[in-house]
Amino acid sequence: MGTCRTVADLLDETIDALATLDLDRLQVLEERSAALSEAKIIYEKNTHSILTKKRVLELVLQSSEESLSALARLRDRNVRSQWVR
Amino acid sequence: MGTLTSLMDMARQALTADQAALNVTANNVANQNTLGYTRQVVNWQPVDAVTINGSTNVTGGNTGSAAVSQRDRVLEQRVQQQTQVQAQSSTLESALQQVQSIFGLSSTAASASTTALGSAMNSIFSSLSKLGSSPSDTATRQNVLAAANTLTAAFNSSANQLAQVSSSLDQQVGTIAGQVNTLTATIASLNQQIASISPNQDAGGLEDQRQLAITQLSQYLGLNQMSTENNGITLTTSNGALLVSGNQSYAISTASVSGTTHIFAGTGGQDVTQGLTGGELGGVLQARDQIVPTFASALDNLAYAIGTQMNGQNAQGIDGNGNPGQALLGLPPSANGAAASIQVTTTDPQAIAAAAIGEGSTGNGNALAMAGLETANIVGGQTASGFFAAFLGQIGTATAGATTANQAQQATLTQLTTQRNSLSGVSLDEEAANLTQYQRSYQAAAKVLSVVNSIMAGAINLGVDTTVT
Repeated sequence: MGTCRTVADLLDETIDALATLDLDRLQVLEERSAALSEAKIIYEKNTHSILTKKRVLELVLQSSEESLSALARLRDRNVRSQWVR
Repeated sequence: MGTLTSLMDMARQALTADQAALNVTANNVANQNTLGYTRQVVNWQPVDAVTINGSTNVTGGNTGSAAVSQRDRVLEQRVQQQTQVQAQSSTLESALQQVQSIFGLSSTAASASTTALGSAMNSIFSSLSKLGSSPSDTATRQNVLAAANTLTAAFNSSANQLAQVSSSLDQQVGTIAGQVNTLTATIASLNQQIASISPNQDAGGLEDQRQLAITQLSQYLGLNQMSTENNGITLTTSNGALLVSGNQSYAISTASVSGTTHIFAGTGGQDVTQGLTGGELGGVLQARDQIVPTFASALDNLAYAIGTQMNGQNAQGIDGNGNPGQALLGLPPSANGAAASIQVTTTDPQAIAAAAIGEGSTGNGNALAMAGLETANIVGGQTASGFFAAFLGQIGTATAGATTANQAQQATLTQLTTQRNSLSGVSLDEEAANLTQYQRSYQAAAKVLSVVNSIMAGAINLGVDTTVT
């Protein structure tokens, strides 16, 4: 059984781990979220803060993907010197 | 003897190389907390073999140890781009929070009626409704005027505070311009030094300083950067005005145009205000030129609609002295500036035209009609309270959106900075391991030198009585 607070904490920690690129922590969080997904969540009336955190996580994931794609593309093409020094 | 000499020379070169490697490590440790410093690693290079008369002679081990900065230019530019995006979103969030506080909004505010302006709007219509019940009562008439004064004061205060936010943003433009000019001059100077000292390869500390200055500049405004010959960097604003080219910087300037500060940049000094994005300057301009005017305009429309509707309805009635009603609220000719200038034009409670025509001065028909404006669609197809609630909703949504966006941008910046630091930052653990390795290498070379020295001494002393040590 989980609560909104547990979900909110999990989202906060995931955002933080993603920002610091802490792979070990992300793996632990993955296990925790998998366990939580099987639990029954007791939602309180105000879920606004959770939705906001979820939105932040979505944006971070999106920009992470964009950054990694850009870096991979530039390196793969070996055109770094043409773009920047 | 020739071989022994070569051996000694090799040991000497190894000692020199190890000493240089130890210096690189010491330099890394010393600069661990230096802002913008890029870690250097030792690039070991073997000595070329020399071929004489068909036979190859290896004349030495290594000559050591060129220090190479661990720099990823792609990553550094991503950090700079993200710095620009994050600085803009942070400035925008800050401006929106100021706007939000003007209207007494917080995350827990549930209703428009709890705000000062919302409460004042409710009070004026409530007092008019009471006037409908007691049209001849002077105290009730006085309450209507008091509620009108509270409402106009709330409009004036909100409009003035919005103007102050705008003015504060405007002042920031000039301050930022000064900071930008200092940094572009620094970057141009570093371009010149790098071109003269290291035109074809990484310039180490000088490049660190230049990257730091560009990152600081990214905090202030959006940039495009291009690499040029002699290891130089050309910088332009996000809309293409030249800031730095080689050893030349082009200062941006500010001037007041129609009451707001505009930015002039580039070789021709053209007005680039419109297209500037990124950095604090991008956020300030977006808030000053788009966000705040939108909210100020909506507030003006609300004040103007309430004022004109109440004046129009009062003019259709008969006041307490039996005369046709006059305008109760002073307004400008159009909605523009209405919230800042709306005011009650009378102090006479009898000026309120409570009676409809034909009722005599003690009637209440017009007071009820004025109270009925509360439920009439008078502004933007909505009631005044409905329009105000939507207006507050827009501010709240915009602020919450800006906060969310800024949190995400900050996390992304942290992520990119982490990536860069993992490559370019100094790790004391790694440096300690290097230190041990170079120390042992140095000791080994010293031992070789010592052994060769003993052998040479032994060779020189062969067959003679006088010993050389």
